[in-house]
Amino acid sequence: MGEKKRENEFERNELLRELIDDYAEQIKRLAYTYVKNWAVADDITQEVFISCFKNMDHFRGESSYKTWLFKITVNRCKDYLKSKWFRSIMPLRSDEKLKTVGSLDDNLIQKSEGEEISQKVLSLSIKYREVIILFYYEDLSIQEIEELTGIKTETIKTRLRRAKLQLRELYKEVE
Amino acid sequence: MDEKLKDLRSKMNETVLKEGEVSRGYKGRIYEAVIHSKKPKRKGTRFIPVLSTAACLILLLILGSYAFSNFIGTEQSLDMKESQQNLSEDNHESREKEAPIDFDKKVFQNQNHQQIYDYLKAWKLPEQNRISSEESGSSSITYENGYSFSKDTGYISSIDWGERNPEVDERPLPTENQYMGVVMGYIDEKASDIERDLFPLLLTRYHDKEVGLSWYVNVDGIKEIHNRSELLMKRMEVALKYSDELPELKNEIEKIHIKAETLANASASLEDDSEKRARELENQYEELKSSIVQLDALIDVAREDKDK
Repeated sequence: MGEKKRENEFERNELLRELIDDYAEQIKRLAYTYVKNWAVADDITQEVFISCFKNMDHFRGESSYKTWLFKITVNRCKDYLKSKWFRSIMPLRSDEKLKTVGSLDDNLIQKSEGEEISQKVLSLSIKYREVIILFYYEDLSIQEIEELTGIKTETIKTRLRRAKLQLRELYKEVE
Repeated sequence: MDEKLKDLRSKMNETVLKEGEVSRGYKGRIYEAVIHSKKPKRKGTRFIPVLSTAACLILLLILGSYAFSNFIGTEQSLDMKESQQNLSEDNHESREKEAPIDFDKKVFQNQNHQQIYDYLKAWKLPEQNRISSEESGSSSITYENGYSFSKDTGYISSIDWGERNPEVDERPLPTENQYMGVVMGYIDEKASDIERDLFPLLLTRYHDKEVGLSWYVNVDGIKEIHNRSELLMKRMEVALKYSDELPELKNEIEKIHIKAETLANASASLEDDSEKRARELENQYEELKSSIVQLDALIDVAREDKDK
């Protein structure tokens, strides 16, 4: 009995190690696209794996581990963004924002196409940024996004359309 | 625009998300943090209420057995004296007045806790409007209004919004006879949340060994305390709305709500981020944590005993 328990624990720990190896980076980056703060993204990454480890026995395999982990990440990020603290404090601690605006020198150097589109995507409001990231960056299908976020297919499509319109507008502003 | 968004992953990874690269060391640190987070802290916290309940029961057992042996002793001596002195009537009357002690029933010193325990022990999920039967293999019972409750504890487990859009529509409402399952579930959920350690966020102060014996205020820790107390306060607001049928429980929730609100307000501003203030906030947080965990433990005990 004790032997079996130890075996189970060993398997759980090994699975955790594998999941961290495979997904820690993706989760950290996904979290950053929501919260735009690396320190917070680090904490969320850790929380996601704690939650995953605690609920590992309840994972029924209805979705892949990746989808499951992404779902926890999205929920944690949204909890963070919903908090009043974030809403009231972020404008005061806008060091991240300042970084994206960049110094004069930065502005003089022509940004690469990749950097430009990346920064524009990050500047979108969260509901548009979310669908762009999940669809174009994570390469998820509409159905997978629906499963992950609970947003209906039609709404996702509408948001994708509007997000692209906004990006186009942002390019026009530069021109 | 589609052309620009093509290959967005590599474009972002090479620019704005470059800092997201993780090393083996980082992965190792996460692994260690997760493994060490699995200590059953909750049980440790529950140990105190369980211990006090056990202590009460042992005390009652000792007093009961003492009273019982006195009773036997008195009866024997009275029998002996009865033939000589006719004094047994008064003693007999006093014996009849003593209520028998029910050792199967948990006894709490706090009358409020006793009422909560008794009520929740007897509380049952409603039979009407179920769409999944108790016999089905599922661990929860689902109702027509989309509410699901754990078959085992009766706590709310999920709400199915059906065709409704969570971003636009109103949340479906529970029926009156589901209220207590919602209240218990919310308390249990928040007790679990608040117990989660988010190292290093929950430290409001750093001790920097390299610099010496200085303490530094950790702003992120205070932020986290604010977030958690505010979320707890909001949940307790909903729980208050649904707990009218058990005023004793409502009273306990109200106390937690006040503590959470006070802490949320106190931790909202960073104007005076002194080490002393950080310590005070941390203490208040511990107090809030202890209140909700103890109430949750009481609910858990009642629900564990429901079939006894």
